[in-house]
Amino acid sequence: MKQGATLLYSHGFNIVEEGMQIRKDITVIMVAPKCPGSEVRAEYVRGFGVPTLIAVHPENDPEGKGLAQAKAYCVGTGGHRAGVLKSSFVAEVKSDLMGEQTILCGLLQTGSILSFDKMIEKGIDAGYASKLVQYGVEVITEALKHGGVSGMMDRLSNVAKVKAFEISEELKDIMRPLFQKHQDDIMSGEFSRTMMEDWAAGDKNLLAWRAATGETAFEKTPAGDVKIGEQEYFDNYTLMVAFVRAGVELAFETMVQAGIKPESAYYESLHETPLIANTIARKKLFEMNRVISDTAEYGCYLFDYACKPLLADFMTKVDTDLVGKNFNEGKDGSVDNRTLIAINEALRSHEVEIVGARLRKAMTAMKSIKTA
Amino acid sequence: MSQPVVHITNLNLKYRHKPVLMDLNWTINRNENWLLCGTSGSGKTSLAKAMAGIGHSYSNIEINFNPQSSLPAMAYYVANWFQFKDLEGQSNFYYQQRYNKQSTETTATVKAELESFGKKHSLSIHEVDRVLAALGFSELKGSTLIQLSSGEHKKLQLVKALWLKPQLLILDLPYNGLDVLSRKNLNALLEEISEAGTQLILISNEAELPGCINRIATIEEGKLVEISAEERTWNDIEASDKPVPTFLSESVVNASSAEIIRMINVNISYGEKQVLKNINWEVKAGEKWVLHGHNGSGKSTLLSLICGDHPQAYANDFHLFGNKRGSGESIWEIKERIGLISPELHWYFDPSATVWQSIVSGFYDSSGLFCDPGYSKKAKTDELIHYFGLDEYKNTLMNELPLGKQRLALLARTIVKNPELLILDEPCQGLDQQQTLHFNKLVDELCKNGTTLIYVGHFESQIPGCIEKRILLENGEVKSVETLLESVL
Repeated sequence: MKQGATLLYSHGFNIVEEGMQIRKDITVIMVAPKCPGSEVRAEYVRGFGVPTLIAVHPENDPEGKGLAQAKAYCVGTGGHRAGVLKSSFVAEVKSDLMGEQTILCGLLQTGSILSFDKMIEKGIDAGYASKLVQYGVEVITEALKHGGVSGMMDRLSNVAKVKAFEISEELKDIMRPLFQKHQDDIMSGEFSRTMMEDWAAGDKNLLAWRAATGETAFEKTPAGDVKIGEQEYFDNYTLMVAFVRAGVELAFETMVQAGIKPESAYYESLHETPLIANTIARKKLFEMNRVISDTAEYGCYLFDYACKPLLADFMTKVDTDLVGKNFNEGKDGSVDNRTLIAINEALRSHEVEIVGARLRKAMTAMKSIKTA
Repeated sequence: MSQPVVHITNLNLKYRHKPVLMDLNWTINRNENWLLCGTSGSGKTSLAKAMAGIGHSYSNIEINFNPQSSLPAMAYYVANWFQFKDLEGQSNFYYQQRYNKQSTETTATVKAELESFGKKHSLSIHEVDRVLAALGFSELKGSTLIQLSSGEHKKLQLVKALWLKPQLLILDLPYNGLDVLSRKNLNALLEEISEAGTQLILISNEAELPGCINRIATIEEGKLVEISAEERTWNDIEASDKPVPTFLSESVVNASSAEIIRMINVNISYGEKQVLKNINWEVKAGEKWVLHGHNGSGKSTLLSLICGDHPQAYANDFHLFGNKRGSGESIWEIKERIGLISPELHWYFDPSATVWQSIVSGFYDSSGLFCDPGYSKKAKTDELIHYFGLDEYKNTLMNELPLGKQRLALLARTIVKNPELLILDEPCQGLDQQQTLHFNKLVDELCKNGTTLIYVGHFESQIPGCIEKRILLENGEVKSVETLLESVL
């Protein structure tokens, strides 16, 4: 590179986790859009942009021009219209890793497989079960994208909402230690160390886990030729709504406790969940794991293998009213006013909702998914 | 007397909660081929979809297929809109993606698409070749769906229907985007399948129709009204007496350069396939051009260069508004000076924006509105909404309106900033005759103020009067450039 040139990263991994050293005359900046590349381009050509984190590597800013250049680049891609956060290489990589291995990929994988297996165990038609799981996360998280956790929970009937709230509280308690362990390992560098060991061993674990994902019953059962209405995905898949609420809130809480800015934690948890859900809708979990980075995929498997045993007891209590059949069936629909008010209050006053409402306001023109 | 083929009794239908069809009755007998014409928004498309059983089936629509016929016993509807999917079954494409070389492999080829259609309906793949040839489509078999222009997508839809030969074929605006020769060939093919037993219902406002059309109707106040061929003529059209909003009569601010476009030996290719070859073209400020060429001759690629949408602009000797492309400008600095309407812009436009937001977004060249436009832009928008007669739809979402009304809103968006260069690529698709006439008169008005115009339209009758120069493309090359009338200035 030329003397005094600028090197731009779209993530912090190489600098932070690999410890890449860059020549001292070179300015090193980061402009990290919080969306897949195709989405960045699509938003740009319609005159908008995607939320973006920018940073300057403090060891490589010899002329003090880094921040101005990062801002300018971000304006060039339209990121300033959707929201720009001044971050750092370290914060970007630690929050990015945490989000992708817990809520974004890990929990969606665990929740999908457990849900499918439960329906098969209880005698729900396999084609229906496969379709409900494959497309359910996309439809459910579409509500999350537009209205946050409370917007998603509001799609349920009152009785279902009360139930989803209760079991998601339980899920949060069960999974909290696992989320914290992941955050600790990411912060200490332990995660990257073991993953890079696996790289050096020719991706031994990664490839074995990837192959195993391709062999699950869910993966091998094609989606049935049945019509599932948009609301039906909520009514018949209340369990996934509870998983998503628990995962989003836990990931956000854990990141904020670890010192990550709430805005950044929002982008890495709630904001990106629908984008990953789209890949599951396309071709299930194998596709999701193929599309995401190897780093995300490795973390996803680590989480998934630790999470399933943790949830074993919980899953024995789950029946088809939560997954596979309409939760409202055979219920009279009445709820206690005070319970409902308390639940709504708890959902709406969570910090991810307060931060999210403000950030979503900046993304005035969010597109709806165009599925035909 | 034999049973009627279609028997509709007291059909009531709502479009987005508004009644459009009220106690509609219609009987179609054997050997009848109907034309359904009339104003945009009268309910033609809703009726057609109901007959084809799309979305909902109605007990008061009775269709009696001929059990003796060898043709498929179905009512097949060819929509006025096209929707294609990528290999993963998604239809999430974005504007400009088509010009991106790497993206072309994400959709199926025409050949694969036809094979899967043929398999679904058990059709012989050999029979499709003749239809492809007749519509000039054979060479495109290897192309992927995303590479097709809007006219070519329309042809693909028609090829499927003509290959299928259902007992009842309903075609909604089939001529949209087709060049003159293709329209002729389509009419011949329609006559042929009608001969062989397919009954036609054609929704169209075009003058040239297949000879087999023997009944004509319009929808008035929710009811079907049969009319004669004479009544179809254009005599009910009166020029609008609404004055053109004053802000559109202001002279456009001209660039420092008197030269709008200069292309020197411009070439565009994808691998082996050359789409534009050695194009030389100059457009000076204030000139009014029409761009002609068959479907697939390279018109939309040429226009995409001018609109800053084609990445290969940077690899060519190409000047826009006096500056060489690739000399530091952003695409937004180019779009700022252009008012564009095209079938693609419509296709990729944000359907969840309201009519008002869509029109204001013309000031910013965005798809959807992202900021508060302030007083004067809002006032201009309101004035234009009134001029286009869209007052009652101001806060309606685009995807809740029929195609013709959507198009009117996008036309208002195109001119709202009174741009120095207007690019109108088949602007009147989906409009009725009266709307087309009004719009062309408006274009003539605008062009008095120094606006530069590039107009694409396949039908002479739809072209505004102010056109003075013509460029003809054929297979990606400039076939001719001619002056139609001397500018009076």
